[in-house]
Amino acid sequence: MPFPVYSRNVPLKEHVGPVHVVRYNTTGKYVLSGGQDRKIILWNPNSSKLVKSYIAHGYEVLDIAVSYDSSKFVSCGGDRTIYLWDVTSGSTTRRFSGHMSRVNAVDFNADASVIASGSYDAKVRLWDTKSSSQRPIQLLEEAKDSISSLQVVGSQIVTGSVDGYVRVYDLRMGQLFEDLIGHPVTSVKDSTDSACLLVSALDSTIRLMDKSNGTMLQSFKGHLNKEYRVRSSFGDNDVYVISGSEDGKVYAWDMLSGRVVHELKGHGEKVVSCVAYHPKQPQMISCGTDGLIQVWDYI
Amino acid sequence: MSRKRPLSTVQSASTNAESVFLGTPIADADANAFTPVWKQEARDERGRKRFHGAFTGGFSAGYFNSVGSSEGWTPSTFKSSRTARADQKVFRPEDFMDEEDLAEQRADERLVAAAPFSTISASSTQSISGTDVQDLLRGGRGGESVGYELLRKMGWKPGFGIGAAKSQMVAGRKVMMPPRADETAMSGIRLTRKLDTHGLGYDSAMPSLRPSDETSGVPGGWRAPGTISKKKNSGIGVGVVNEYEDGDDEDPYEIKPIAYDRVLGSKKQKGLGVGASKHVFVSKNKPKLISASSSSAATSTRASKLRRCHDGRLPLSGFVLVTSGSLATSSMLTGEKEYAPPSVPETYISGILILRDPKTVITAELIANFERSRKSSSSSVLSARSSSATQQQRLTASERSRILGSAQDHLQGKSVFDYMTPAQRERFANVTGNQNLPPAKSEVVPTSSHAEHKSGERNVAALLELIPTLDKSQASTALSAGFMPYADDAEKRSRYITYLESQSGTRRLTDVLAFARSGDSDTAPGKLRLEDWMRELKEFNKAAGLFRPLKGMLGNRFTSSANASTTKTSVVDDDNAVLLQGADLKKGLTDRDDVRAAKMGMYGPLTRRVSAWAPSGLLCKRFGVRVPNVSAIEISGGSVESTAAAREKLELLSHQKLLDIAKDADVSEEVTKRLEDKNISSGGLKIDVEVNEALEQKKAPRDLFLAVFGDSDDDSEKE
Repeated sequence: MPFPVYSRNVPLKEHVGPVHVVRYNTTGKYVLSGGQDRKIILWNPNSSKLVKSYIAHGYEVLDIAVSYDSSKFVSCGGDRTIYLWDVTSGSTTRRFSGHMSRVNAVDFNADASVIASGSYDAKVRLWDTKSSSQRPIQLLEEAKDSISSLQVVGSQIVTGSVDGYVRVYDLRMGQLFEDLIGHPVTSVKDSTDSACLLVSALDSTIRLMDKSNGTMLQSFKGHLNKEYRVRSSFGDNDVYVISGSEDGKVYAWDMLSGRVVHELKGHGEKVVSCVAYHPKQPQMISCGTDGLIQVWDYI
Repeated sequence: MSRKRPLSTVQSASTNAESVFLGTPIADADANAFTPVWKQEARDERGRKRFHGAFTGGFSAGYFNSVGSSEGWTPSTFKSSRTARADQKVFRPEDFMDEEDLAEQRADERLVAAAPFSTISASSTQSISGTDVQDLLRGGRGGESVGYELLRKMGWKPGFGIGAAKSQMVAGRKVMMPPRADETAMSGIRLTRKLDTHGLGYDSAMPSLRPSDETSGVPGGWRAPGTISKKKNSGIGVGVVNEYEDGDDEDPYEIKPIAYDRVLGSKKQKGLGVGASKHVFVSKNKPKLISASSSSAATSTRASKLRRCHDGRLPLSGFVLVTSGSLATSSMLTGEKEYAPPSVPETYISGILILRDPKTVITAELIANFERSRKSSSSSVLSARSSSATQQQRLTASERSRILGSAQDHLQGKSVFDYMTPAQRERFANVTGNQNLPPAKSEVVPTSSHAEHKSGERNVAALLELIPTLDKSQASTALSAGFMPYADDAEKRSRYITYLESQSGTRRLTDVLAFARSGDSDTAPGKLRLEDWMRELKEFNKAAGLFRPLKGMLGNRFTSSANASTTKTSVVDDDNAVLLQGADLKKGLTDRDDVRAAKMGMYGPLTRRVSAWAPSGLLCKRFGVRVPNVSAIEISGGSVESTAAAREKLELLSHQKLLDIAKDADVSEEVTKRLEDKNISSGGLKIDVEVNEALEQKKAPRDLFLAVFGDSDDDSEKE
């Protein structure tokens, strides 16, 4: 499929201040965004209309994850709290608190029965959504520094930490694989076939790591990522690798060759903090510290 | 609608007809007699058609039959309750009643207790009749007991027994059948005929029914057979507010049969009896025993002579009043002898007290004496034990052995006083205030160096005990706090640091003693009197607690990424956590293999650590994963150990490989040099850079590569 290179004339503008995260729902019909203004906004990216805004957080919203059926989503942020939302009613159904400092990353497992949250306190807490218990099921304390990114893939919990390690907790094997990247990790993303990991680090490099033996398969360079948490992602069934950048551009690489195929300007000179690729169509969204959410299409 | 059809019209019609009437005309009522059945019409005595056929409304109704609506008994058409649920009405009998019926019903209404309460109220107010007891036994609902109902709900049928199904031969086939009733004990409640004169429900096997048993005074103390051992008893009419000290699973509403052999108000007596003095009359003929036993008991009896009974009268002549709780009673009543506590021997010196007294000047003799007294007294072990737990903990094995060794030394029969001059003994007696010291023999120390050494050791051990202990971690944190007190006094500061280091374990404990002036003769500068030395050490102890970095709750919030060396189950021993930013990287982390490998982009087995991780059972359940047997992984050492072994073997390879790559990648010369140095230093293995033995061996490296690198063979082939 072609790569979406054209941005809309009017970007999605509702957030005041930086937007930290954008996420498609499972069908790709809607987009959720969370920002510094403590709001979570549900957008229709096709009509560029605001659908709903969800307000409960007391501090900035740092990460959002959508459940498999798109009926609920979970959000976390600077208020050290994790909220579980009902999408239609717009109300929070659960609240998990226990982290000592801001929660950077959050994710559901496959059937949304467990929420994994990674925090600045270097801990990953696993919460049970099925029981009413307020205590986490388990605490993962191996990281030595802030957990910046986290993903639950099948029976694995993948965490990226500022201590330079990518940790894969394998439930099935009962093993922990710690891969030293050598630079603070800002983003981990699992490939569609779950064999590789896309790891962004603060040396302006994105690495494609083999999960089975920890070797590096490909590296992607060209963008700027020295200070901020900039998320990267796969696109179009792992054909592309996309990432934000601190120079205001969205970069796209060809996964196999590792060459930059697109540099898209859309956020001025501000940091592009998060990108997300549509699960089915050639569409992409990006958000940045300029408070805009750009929708990229191919037409 | 039915019409009235007068008889006259029929008659007139018949008269009009031109026919001859013979005989009696057939009665009009029997007009249908000759019509076929299906043509006949049913009419009432007044000739009205009342039955209209099943399909036209059945019995006629309507106003004429005073139903109240013109439609009469019109069957209501079916309405789905799904769409019109709110319109659905549930009719009560009252809806079909008229005023008269309702008034009648109202008149009949009475206020009565509901069914579950009625049995209780009935049974508690009136004496239980036989049927009531039966009801209680059988479940009270007129039917079967609860057990029966439960069993029946579970599929049991009366007549069957209880238990696992048994295979039986039925009509030549083998079928699983429940056991018959006679095979098991299940035969319901047997109502045997009552022949004795006991009350209903009386069971002689139950101790709680006996009158001697103390219960809460409520009439009704029958409990279930399983609860006999329980102290507290409850009966009918006991509310929730009643206290249940021991019974958390006791049901206050449990229905129990009533015991009749009860005395009301026994609770009052019990309340009086508990805690208060119980009157016991003791004959005065016995007081010899009391006075002989102990003086205190005698005084108590003297006092009790004046005491009156609870009714205000004096006790009977010849008896005294004794409280049951007092010591005298027990001895008096049981007749046991009382013994006075053992008297402390006058020669006993409490050694601990001497040392605790701040005014005492601690001398070597004193300490030695303390040691001696500790050992000479039979309770030496006890006193040692009673000395604080910190001392106990601080004693190392060598120290203990030294103490034991000195004890043996003492057994030879020599004491410090044997070596004392009379003058010294005099001063010692003055200090301790104890004049009963053994005479000073002023013996010459035989092998002076050995004995001196011994006594010196003893002194050291005693002094070491005096050093206030500090938590090891606390000491190390105080050392690394950055801020050091006593900036104005360099010597004191050095002493402070020495103390901290000795407590943190980096320095020997005896180094602290170097600052203490041991005896009275030594007046070397820079040394303190023992008193001052001790005071200073205490001060240090407090200071270390005070001058510490962020600790406790605040400190725990920060995770040090650079020096957290508590990597669990790490493969490499010298593994530290890494923060590859800033100065730390430049300082000491570069010489770590994995960091170097990561730096060079050699991701793979060098940068990977595998360790066992135990997910919790609930987590596995939520993820739909079987709980992995982590312990098996660890014990058999499957992956972890093998990885470690592989790493060990790889050590050689990796160094070599790093060297090569370092050359290729044009890394700084220093790294290469250091690597080479390490190669040589580690195990003294001489490795020629040009000829690599490990690589020359064809088979083993191949396996290794396969095992470790998997499919990344091309890397090895490149070399």
